[in-house]
Amino acid sequence: MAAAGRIILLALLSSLPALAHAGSDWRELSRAQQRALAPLADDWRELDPASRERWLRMVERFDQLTPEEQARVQGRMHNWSQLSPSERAHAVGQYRALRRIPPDQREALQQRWQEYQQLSPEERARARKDARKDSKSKKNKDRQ
Amino acid sequence: MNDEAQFGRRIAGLLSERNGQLDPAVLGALGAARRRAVAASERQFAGVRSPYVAMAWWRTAKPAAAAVLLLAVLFAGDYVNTARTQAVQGEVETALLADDLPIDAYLDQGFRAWLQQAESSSSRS
Repeated sequence: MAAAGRIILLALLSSLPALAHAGSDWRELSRAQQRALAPLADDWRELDPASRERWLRMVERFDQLTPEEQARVQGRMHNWSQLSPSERAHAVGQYRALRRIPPDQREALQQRWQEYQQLSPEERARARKDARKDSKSKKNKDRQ
Repeated sequence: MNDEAQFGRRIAGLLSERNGQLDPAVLGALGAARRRAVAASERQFAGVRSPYVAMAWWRTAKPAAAAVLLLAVLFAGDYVNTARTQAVQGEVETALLADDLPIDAYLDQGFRAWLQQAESSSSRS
Protein backbone atom coordinates (compact mmCIF):
# COMPACT_ATOMS: atom_id res chain seq x y z
CA MET A 1 0.00 0.00 0.00
CA ALA A 2 2.68 2.45 1.12
CA ALA A 3 4.95 1.27 -1.67
CA ALA A 4 2.21 1.96 -4.22
CA GLY A 5 1.73 5.46 -2.77
CA ARG A 6 5.46 6.09 -2.95
CA ILE A 7 5.52 4.98 -6.60
CA ILE A 8 2.59 7.28 -7.51
CA LEU A 9 4.19 10.23 -5.75
CA LEU A 10 7.56 9.61 -7.39
CA ALA A 11 5.94 9.28 -10.81
CA LEU A 12 4.04 12.55 -10.33
CA LEU A 13 7.06 14.40 -9.01
CA SER A 14 9.25 13.15 -11.81
CA SER A 15 6.70 14.32 -14.39
CA LEU A 16 6.66 17.90 -13.07
CA PRO A 17 9.90 19.15 -14.65
CA ALA A 18 8.88 17.61 -17.95
CA LEU A 19 5.57 19.50 -17.85
CA ALA A 20 7.23 22.77 -16.89
CA HIS A 21 9.50 22.65 -19.92
CA ALA A 22 7.02 21.04 -22.31
CA GLY A 23 8.02 21.92 -25.84
CA SER A 24 10.13 24.95 -24.95
CA ASP A 25 12.23 24.38 -28.05
CA TRP A 26 10.43 24.40 -31.41
CA ARG A 27 12.63 21.51 -32.59
CA GLU A 28 11.35 19.35 -29.73
CA LEU A 29 7.81 19.43 -31.16
CA SER A 30 6.53 16.59 -33.30
CA ARG A 31 6.05 17.17 -37.03
CA ALA A 32 2.28 17.27 -36.57
CA GLN A 33 2.59 19.89 -33.83
CA GLN A 34 4.99 21.96 -35.92
CA ARG A 35 2.63 21.81 -38.89
CA ALA A 36 -0.37 22.85 -36.79
CA LEU A 37 1.46 25.61 -34.93
CA ALA A 38 3.43 26.87 -37.95
CA PRO A 39 2.08 30.48 -37.63
CA LEU A 40 3.61 30.68 -34.14
CA ALA A 41 7.01 29.23 -35.08
CA ASP A 42 8.85 32.57 -34.88
CA ASP A 43 7.26 33.53 -31.55
CA TRP A 44 7.42 30.07 -29.95
CA ARG A 45 10.49 30.75 -27.80
CA GLU A 46 9.05 34.02 -26.52
CA LEU A 47 5.82 32.42 -25.33
CA ASP A 48 5.65 31.64 -21.63
CA PRO A 49 5.55 27.93 -20.66
CA ALA A 50 1.84 28.08 -19.76
CA SER A 51 0.98 29.51 -23.20
CA ARG A 52 3.09 26.91 -24.96
CA GLU A 53 1.33 24.17 -23.04
CA ARG A 54 -2.05 25.71 -23.87
CA TRP A 55 -1.22 25.80 -27.58
CA LEU A 56 -0.01 22.20 -27.52
CA ARG A 57 -3.29 21.16 -25.94
CA MET A 58 -5.24 23.23 -28.45
CA VAL A 59 -3.74 21.48 -31.46
CA GLU A 60 -4.08 17.96 -30.05
CA ARG A 61 -7.05 17.34 -32.35
CA PHE A 62 -5.99 19.65 -35.13
CA ASP A 63 -5.93 16.77 -37.64
CA GLN A 64 -9.60 16.08 -36.96
CA LEU A 65 -10.62 19.54 -38.22
CA THR A 66 -11.63 20.10 -41.84
CA PRO A 67 -9.01 21.85 -44.02
CA GLU A 68 -11.20 24.96 -43.95
CA GLU A 69 -11.32 24.93 -40.14
CA GLN A 70 -7.59 24.27 -39.94
CA ALA A 71 -6.94 27.31 -42.13
CA ARG A 72 -9.22 29.42 -39.92
CA VAL A 73 -7.49 28.27 -36.74
CA GLN A 74 -4.06 28.97 -38.15
CA GLY A 75 -5.14 32.33 -39.54
CA ARG A 76 -6.33 33.41 -36.08
CA MET A 77 -3.52 31.96 -33.98
CA HIS A 78 -1.40 35.06 -33.96
CA ASN A 79 -4.25 37.37 -32.88
CA TRP A 80 -5.39 34.91 -30.23
CA SER A 81 -1.89 34.67 -28.74
CA GLN A 82 -1.77 38.49 -28.46
CA LEU A 83 -4.90 38.65 -26.28
CA SER A 84 -4.73 39.00 -22.51
CA PRO A 85 -6.02 36.10 -20.37
CA SER A 86 -9.09 38.15 -19.40
CA GLU A 87 -9.89 38.91 -23.07
CA ARG A 88 -9.57 35.24 -23.93
CA ALA A 89 -11.75 34.29 -20.98
CA HIS A 90 -14.38 36.82 -22.10
CA ALA A 91 -14.32 35.50 -25.68
CA VAL A 92 -14.62 31.89 -24.46
CA GLY A 93 -17.55 32.89 -22.23
CA GLN A 94 -19.31 34.60 -25.15
CA TYR A 95 -18.61 31.61 -27.39
CA ARG A 96 -20.07 29.19 -24.84
CA ALA A 97 -23.14 31.41 -24.41
CA LEU A 98 -23.69 31.72 -28.17
CA ARG A 99 -23.30 27.95 -28.58
CA ARG A 100 -26.40 27.55 -26.45
CA ILE A 101 -28.71 29.36 -28.88
CA PRO A 102 -30.89 27.16 -31.14
CA PRO A 103 -29.11 25.74 -34.23
CA ASP A 104 -31.44 27.52 -36.69
CA GLN A 105 -30.54 30.87 -35.13
CA ARG A 106 -26.91 29.90 -34.91
CA GLU A 107 -26.71 29.49 -38.67
CA ALA A 108 -27.79 33.10 -39.04
CA LEU A 109 -25.12 34.37 -36.65
CA GLN A 110 -22.69 35.21 -39.44
CA GLN A 111 -25.31 37.40 -41.07
CA ARG A 112 -26.26 38.97 -37.72
CA TRP A 113 -22.60 39.82 -37.13
CA GLN A 114 -22.49 41.57 -40.52
CA GLU A 115 -25.61 43.51 -39.56
CA TYR A 116 -24.13 44.43 -36.20
CA GLN A 117 -20.99 45.73 -37.85
CA GLN A 118 -23.08 47.95 -40.08
CA LEU A 119 -24.62 49.67 -37.08
CA SER A 120 -23.49 53.21 -36.35
CA PRO A 121 -20.76 53.59 -33.69
CA GLU A 122 -23.39 55.15 -31.39
CA GLU A 123 -25.70 52.16 -31.72
CA ARG A 124 -22.87 49.75 -30.99
CA ALA A 125 -21.81 51.85 -28.01
CA ARG A 126 -25.39 51.66 -26.76
CA ALA A 127 -25.35 47.87 -27.15
CA ARG A 128 -22.10 47.68 -25.14
CA LYS A 129 -23.61 49.90 -22.46
CA ASP A 130 -26.66 47.63 -22.30
CA ALA A 131 -24.38 44.60 -22.01
CA ARG A 132 -22.53 46.18 -19.10
CA LYS A 133 -25.85 47.06 -17.44
CA ASP A 134 -27.10 43.48 -17.94
CA SER A 135 -23.95 41.98 -16.48
CA LYS A 136 -24.14 44.34 -13.46
CA SER A 137 -27.77 43.45 -12.75
CA LYS A 138 -26.93 39.75 -13.20
CA LYS A 139 -24.10 40.05 -10.69
CA ASN A 140 -26.42 41.82 -8.22
CA LYS A 141 -29.02 39.07 -8.65
CA ASP A 142 -26.37 36.40 -8.06
CA ARG A 143 -25.27 38.14 -4.85
CA GLN A 144 -28.85 38.27 -3.45
CA MET B 1 12.33 -24.74 42.47
CA ASN B 2 13.58 -27.92 40.73
CA ASP B 3 16.87 -29.75 41.30
CA GLU B 4 18.58 -28.37 38.21
CA ALA B 5 17.95 -24.82 39.22
CA GLN B 6 19.15 -25.49 42.75
CA PHE B 7 22.34 -27.10 41.41
CA GLY B 8 22.95 -24.11 39.14
CA ARG B 9 22.52 -21.63 41.99
CA ARG B 10 25.00 -23.61 44.13
CA ILE B 11 27.63 -23.56 41.38
CA ALA B 12 27.10 -19.84 40.80
CA GLY B 13 27.49 -19.25 44.56
CA LEU B 14 30.72 -21.26 44.73
CA LEU B 15 32.12 -19.48 41.67
CA SER B 16 31.30 -16.08 43.15
CA GLU B 17 32.99 -17.06 46.44
CA ARG B 18 36.12 -18.24 44.62
CA ASN B 19 36.15 -15.18 42.38
CA GLY B 20 37.89 -13.05 44.97
CA GLN B 21 40.56 -15.66 45.54
CA LEU B 22 41.63 -15.88 41.88
CA ASP B 23 44.93 -14.59 40.57
CA PRO B 24 44.53 -11.16 38.83
CA ALA B 25 46.13 -12.63 35.66
CA VAL B 26 43.51 -15.40 35.60
CA LEU B 27 40.73 -12.85 36.22
CA GLY B 28 42.06 -10.74 33.33
CA ALA B 29 42.18 -13.77 31.01
CA LEU B 30 38.62 -14.73 31.99
CA GLY B 31 37.41 -11.15 31.43
CA ALA B 32 39.10 -11.03 28.00
CA ALA B 33 37.57 -14.40 27.04
CA ARG B 34 34.10 -13.14 28.09
CA ARG B 35 34.46 -9.99 26.02
CA ARG B 36 35.57 -12.03 22.98
CA ALA B 37 32.60 -14.37 23.38
CA VAL B 38 30.14 -11.44 23.63
CA ALA B 39 31.70 -9.76 20.57
CA ALA B 40 31.50 -12.99 18.56
CA SER B 41 27.85 -13.42 19.56
CA GLU B 42 27.05 -9.84 18.49
CA ARG B 43 28.70 -10.42 15.10
CA GLN B 44 26.76 -13.64 14.60
CA PHE B 45 23.35 -11.98 15.20
CA ALA B 46 24.14 -8.60 13.65
CA GLY B 47 22.28 -9.32 10.39
CA VAL B 48 19.30 -10.99 11.99
CA ARG B 49 16.22 -8.73 12.28
CA SER B 50 13.66 -9.76 14.78
CA PRO B 51 10.08 -9.70 13.45
CA TYR B 52 9.19 -7.73 16.58
CA VAL B 53 11.66 -5.00 15.57
CA ALA B 54 10.16 -4.83 12.05
CA MET B 55 6.66 -4.64 13.48
CA ALA B 56 7.67 -1.89 15.88
CA TRP B 57 9.19 0.04 12.96
CA TRP B 58 6.00 -0.38 10.92
CA ARG B 59 3.85 0.78 13.85
CA THR B 60 5.90 3.99 14.01
CA ALA B 61 5.98 4.55 10.27
CA LYS B 62 2.32 3.66 9.59
CA PRO B 63 0.79 7.13 10.21
CA ALA B 64 3.51 8.78 8.11
CA ALA B 65 2.99 6.25 5.29
CA ALA B 66 -0.76 6.84 5.43
CA ALA B 67 -0.22 10.61 5.27
CA VAL B 68 2.12 10.25 2.28
CA LEU B 69 -0.38 8.00 0.51
CA LEU B 70 -3.24 10.41 1.22
CA LEU B 71 -1.18 13.33 -0.10
CA ALA B 72 -0.28 11.34 -3.21
CA VAL B 73 -3.93 10.48 -3.85
CA LEU B 74 -5.01 14.12 -3.34
CA PHE B 75 -2.19 15.34 -5.55
CA ALA B 76 -3.03 12.81 -8.26
CA GLY B 77 -6.74 13.68 -8.08
CA ASP B 78 -6.02 17.39 -8.38
CA TYR B 79 -3.59 16.77 -11.22
CA VAL B 80 -6.10 14.66 -13.17
CA ASN B 81 -8.87 17.19 -12.54
CA THR B 82 -6.74 20.12 -13.69
CA ALA B 83 -5.58 18.20 -16.76
CA ARG B 84 -9.19 17.40 -17.68
CA THR B 85 -10.32 21.03 -17.24
CA GLN B 86 -7.38 22.27 -19.30
CA ALA B 87 -8.10 19.73 -22.04
CA VAL B 88 -11.74 20.87 -22.25
CA GLN B 89 -10.63 24.52 -22.23
CA GLY B 90 -8.18 23.76 -25.06
CA GLU B 91 -10.92 22.10 -27.11
CA VAL B 92 -13.25 25.08 -26.62
CA GLU B 93 -10.55 27.54 -27.64
CA THR B 94 -9.77 25.53 -30.78
CA ALA B 95 -13.48 25.35 -31.63
CA LEU B 96 -13.73 29.11 -31.17
CA LEU B 97 -10.80 29.71 -33.52
CA ALA B 98 -12.27 27.29 -36.07
CA ASP B 99 -15.71 28.90 -35.87
CA ASP B 100 -17.48 30.72 -38.72
CA LEU B 101 -17.62 33.88 -36.66
CA PRO B 102 -14.41 35.89 -36.29
CA ILE B 103 -12.76 36.32 -32.89
CA ASP B 104 -13.92 39.96 -32.81
CA ALA B 105 -17.55 38.81 -32.60
CA TYR B 106 -16.74 37.06 -29.32
CA LEU B 107 -14.55 39.85 -28.04
CA ASP B 108 -17.14 42.55 -28.70
CA GLN B 109 -18.90 43.49 -25.48
CA GLY B 110 -22.15 44.47 -27.19
CA PHE B 111 -22.79 41.86 -29.89
CA ARG B 112 -24.50 39.33 -27.67
CA ALA B 113 -26.60 41.98 -25.90
CA TRP B 114 -27.64 43.39 -29.27
CA LEU B 115 -28.54 39.89 -30.49
CA GLN B 116 -30.66 39.21 -27.41
CA GLN B 117 -32.35 42.58 -27.75
CA ALA B 118 -33.02 41.98 -31.45
CA GLU B 119 -34.41 38.50 -30.68
CA SER B 120 -36.71 39.73 -27.92
CA SER B 121 -38.02 42.64 -30.01
CA SER B 122 -38.67 40.33 -32.99
CA SER B 123 -40.50 37.80 -30.79
CA ARG B 124 -42.68 40.60 -29.35
CA SER B 125 -43.71 41.94 -32.79
